[in-house]
Amino acid sequence: MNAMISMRHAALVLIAGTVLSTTPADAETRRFRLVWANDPTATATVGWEQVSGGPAVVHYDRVDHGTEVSAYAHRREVDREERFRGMHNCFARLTGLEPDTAYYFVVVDDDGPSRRFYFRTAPAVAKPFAFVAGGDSRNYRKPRRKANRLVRKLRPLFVAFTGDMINKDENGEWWQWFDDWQQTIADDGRMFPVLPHRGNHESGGNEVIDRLFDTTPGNYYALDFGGDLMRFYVLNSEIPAGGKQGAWLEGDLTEHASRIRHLCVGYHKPMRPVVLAKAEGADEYDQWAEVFHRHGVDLVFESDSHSVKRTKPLVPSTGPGSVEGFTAAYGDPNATVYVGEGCWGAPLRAADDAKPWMLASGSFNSFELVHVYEDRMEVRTVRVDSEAGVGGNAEGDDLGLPAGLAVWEPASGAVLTVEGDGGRSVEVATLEEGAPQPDLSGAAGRELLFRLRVPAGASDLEFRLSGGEGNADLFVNARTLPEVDDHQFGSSQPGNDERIAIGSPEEGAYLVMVRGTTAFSGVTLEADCTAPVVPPARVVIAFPRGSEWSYHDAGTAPDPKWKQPGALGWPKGRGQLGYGDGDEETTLQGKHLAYYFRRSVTLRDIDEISNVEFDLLYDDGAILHLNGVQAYRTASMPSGPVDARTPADTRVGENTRLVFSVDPALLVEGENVIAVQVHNQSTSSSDISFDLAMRVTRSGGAGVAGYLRFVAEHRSAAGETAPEQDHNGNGIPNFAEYAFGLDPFDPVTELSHLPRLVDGEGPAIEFVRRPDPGIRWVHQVSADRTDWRPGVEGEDFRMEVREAGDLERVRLIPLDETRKTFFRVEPVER
Amino acid sequence: MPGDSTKDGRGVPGWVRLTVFLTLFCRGWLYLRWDSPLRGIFWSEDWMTWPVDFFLHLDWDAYASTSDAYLTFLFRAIGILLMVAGVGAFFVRRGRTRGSDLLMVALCFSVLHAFAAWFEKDWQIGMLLELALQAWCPLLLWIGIRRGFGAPAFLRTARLLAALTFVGHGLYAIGHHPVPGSFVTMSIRVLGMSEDAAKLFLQVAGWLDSAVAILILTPWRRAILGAGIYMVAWGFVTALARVVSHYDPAVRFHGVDPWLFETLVRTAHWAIPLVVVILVFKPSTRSVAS
Repeated sequence: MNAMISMRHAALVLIAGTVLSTTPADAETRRFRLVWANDPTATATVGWEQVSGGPAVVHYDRVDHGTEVSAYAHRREVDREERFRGMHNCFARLTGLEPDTAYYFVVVDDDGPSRRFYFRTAPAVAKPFAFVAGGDSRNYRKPRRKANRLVRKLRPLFVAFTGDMINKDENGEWWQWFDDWQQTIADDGRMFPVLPHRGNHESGGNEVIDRLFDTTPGNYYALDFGGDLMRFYVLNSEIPAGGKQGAWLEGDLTEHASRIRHLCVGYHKPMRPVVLAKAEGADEYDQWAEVFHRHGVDLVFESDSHSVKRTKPLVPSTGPGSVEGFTAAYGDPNATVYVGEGCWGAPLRAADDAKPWMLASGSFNSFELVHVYEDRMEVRTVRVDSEAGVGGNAEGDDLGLPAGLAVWEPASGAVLTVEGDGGRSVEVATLEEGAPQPDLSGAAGRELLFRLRVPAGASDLEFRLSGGEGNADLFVNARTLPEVDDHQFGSSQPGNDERIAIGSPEEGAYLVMVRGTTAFSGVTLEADCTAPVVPPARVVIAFPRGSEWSYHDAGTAPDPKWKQPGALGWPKGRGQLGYGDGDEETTLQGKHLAYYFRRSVTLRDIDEISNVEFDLLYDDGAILHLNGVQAYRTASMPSGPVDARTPADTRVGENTRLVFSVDPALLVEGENVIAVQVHNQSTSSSDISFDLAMRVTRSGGAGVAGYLRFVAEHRSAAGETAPEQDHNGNGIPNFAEYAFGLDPFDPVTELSHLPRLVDGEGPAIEFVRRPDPGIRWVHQVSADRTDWRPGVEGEDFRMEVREAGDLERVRLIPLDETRKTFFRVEPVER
Repeated sequence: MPGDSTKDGRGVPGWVRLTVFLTLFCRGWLYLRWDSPLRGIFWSEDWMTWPVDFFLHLDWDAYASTSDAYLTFLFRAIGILLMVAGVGAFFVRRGRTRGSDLLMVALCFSVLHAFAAWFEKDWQIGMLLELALQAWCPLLLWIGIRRGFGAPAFLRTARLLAALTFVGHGLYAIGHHPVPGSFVTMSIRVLGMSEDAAKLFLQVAGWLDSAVAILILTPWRRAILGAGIYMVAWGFVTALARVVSHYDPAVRFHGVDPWLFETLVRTAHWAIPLVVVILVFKPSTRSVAS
């Protein structure tokens, strides 16, 4: 009995302690929030819930007076009260603030002051800073709180929250959300302004965001940061993307884009979700993609899908090579990078709809950390699950990366760099080849800008200006905007007859400026080029069935590094590998649950690879890892962690064959490791089988353009003319013969063109090659013909190149004549 | 099929069977290929934390991180069931219990779908009402088979469901609930009007929806006919607007998938009012419209 009483007392003490700890001096005010919806250099809105009593007053100053209210130089009474979502929301709009300055404040009501908070206004001049962007914090509070705590550790200038704060737009969920948001407040009281966006789960309409954060009725606006350094657009994808919002966006970009270095946009619904079950954002794409491109929007934050993605710089296009309305365009200064898609604390969805123009995709709790510099923005995707082990940035060091911070490291790199465009995000019209732009006019000094996209392999590019009156001149640059005094090509004749010819243009964007030396009118601009031979997409066998594999058949756990590059000393054997069926090329030890296989394959120009396909023969279950990442798991395998003692869930038929594709983003340039574990359903199983082929679909790069021209000129009939085929059956692929200056359709091969040993002043390797810029020559060296490595000119050999008619004769001379060196020469399509 | 009824003579059974087929089949496809509002319930931390812990012995962390694949599998299975049930709508006959059972199972899932959509829309009553025809049209077919397609119960149910659907639609259009951006966008894209004009247009349409919902429940034959004809026209146009407004040559299948299915899944919005018009315009001896 005594024990029970003492237990009750202990419980009472505990409850009292809890109440006291959550009832500090700010008992009448809580759920604080700091919002930027106006000039962040001079304003900030302090919001809170007034629990009881009359509205409080904000006392603020540039000097920290702690909770000594009377010492604060300024005070601001409540500008707006909203009784909404079960809270009495109060907002005090602080104005007339100094840029890049810390402001300390307390919220004071009848019961006294709150704890002392502070924030920093945004700089008014170009100065590097950091901000955080992300969305979807609904229904998964644990990572939501972790992400919130990471905000205070990273100390960004602000947070762009791209919608779906809550799951159900009702009182309780908002209370929880604001309670959790308090965890963004640093221990020293610093608050981080939020730019709230509306998501579809803010289903109460635009008023929800406006009344809880005091932003704007339509939930769309734009703010400058760092003077002309960056402008951030908060857009609303829950209302028409066109209409009033679209007109405002077009007008604002027209007014501001030309002076801003970095243009960023945030909104909720993605144009092209990375999740298959999500419909495409037709309205957003139609109304915004072209506008973003025309005005040079650099970086877009999307949300909604509960997954992660990064794209290459994209331009909207429905032309050849485009996928779902976009093509990648690294050379286009107005191209836009899209990132997202909403993992601040929401149940995760598989990123199963990656596009060829995506750099990477994944599925984990995260947000984007952006460092903004004068010449670039660096985007890192921060994994929030390891928040507990993360240190913290010191005040004033918001560009640091605290110890323990887990940053996503996809194959394309941990840091996504979005380059600045030199502050010239001016409106650039599209110029189509063969489609004149008539009736150009302007006053003296007027600059009209156009962009022409030149495909790979095009030739004889010509820009012409003609007709009309006055005097306009023509300036052209590849990739960057031309200036009158800084351009690659220019024509400044009297009058309007200007012509610029470029014999071998680069692939990508050419930027054209028509500038009035005097007033001009009625002028026509046109561009022509010789179209390239478009290389067709083609399937290339990376390795066939029956290839050699290293294997581990001891029934034990493999070396932990078995999915990584490097030798492990495993035995080798050709496929099919297994036991029990009698059709194996390599017989393995029987009666184990798990078998492990690995091999590597060298792939180059992986940007051209649009599909990676595996042709798997297995029995009973298999998991395929590509470069250490699980890329595929057969349905017969259980979910969750798998080890050498894990059986397959079900037994499948003999030699079951499965063809499937994996995400090309998992590939890396150069050596790729394919690791496969095959599991038996039980140790009593009579057999196990494994073999694998890998095929990649290449879009075809510039490298084969010259070859295809050769094909068109030398062989009109159809046949085995694909680069990887062997038309004349001499064992050398067509492209290689072409590269060595041979005719792949001539059955007689000139052996002297192929690499051979010659002895002049010393031993050397000599071969003939075709001087085609589409061919990259790979020279490898080895001491034993087993381990090959890239040869380095100047260290391993020197190279002599002599002209031989239309071809070149090349000699590779080893620098160290004291030891034996083997050479391997490989022509590779660029 | 329309006009294939041997008992009715006015094609009503065919229209109802076709409606149920398209509703269930397309809903099934949307579950199979796309998604389901049931996900909102399964991912409700408040609702599911305890069941997940109790039945699956998983904490919410593990569940929220790994449940996507299982839910997708579940929705695909439901989708296949709905598609099969949709085809079965052509073959359900009185006395064939297996077909009726399948129809009832499909009805349960249709109603569950409506509930989930209501949940997703934060209990906005307009959403539940708007889905009345889609959710309950299998019941309408069942009543028709059991009692006859000209029976008073059949006609009363059809009128009631049509009224509920149009009230629900109207509650959004007039702004009782926040006007969905998609409504305004569809009006802008299909009709080429300004945003303000689109909002005004929707408001007028919303009030008309509410008016015809009342009229179709009145005992006056002419009122029912007028309201029914309006519902046929407006229900068809609003369904068709989905696929027209989302036509996009940049995406796979030009946006036909899912938007053609979103159009067809709303067949009940105009086909059931059409059935009402047919029955009231040309009543059988058993039909009592007023």
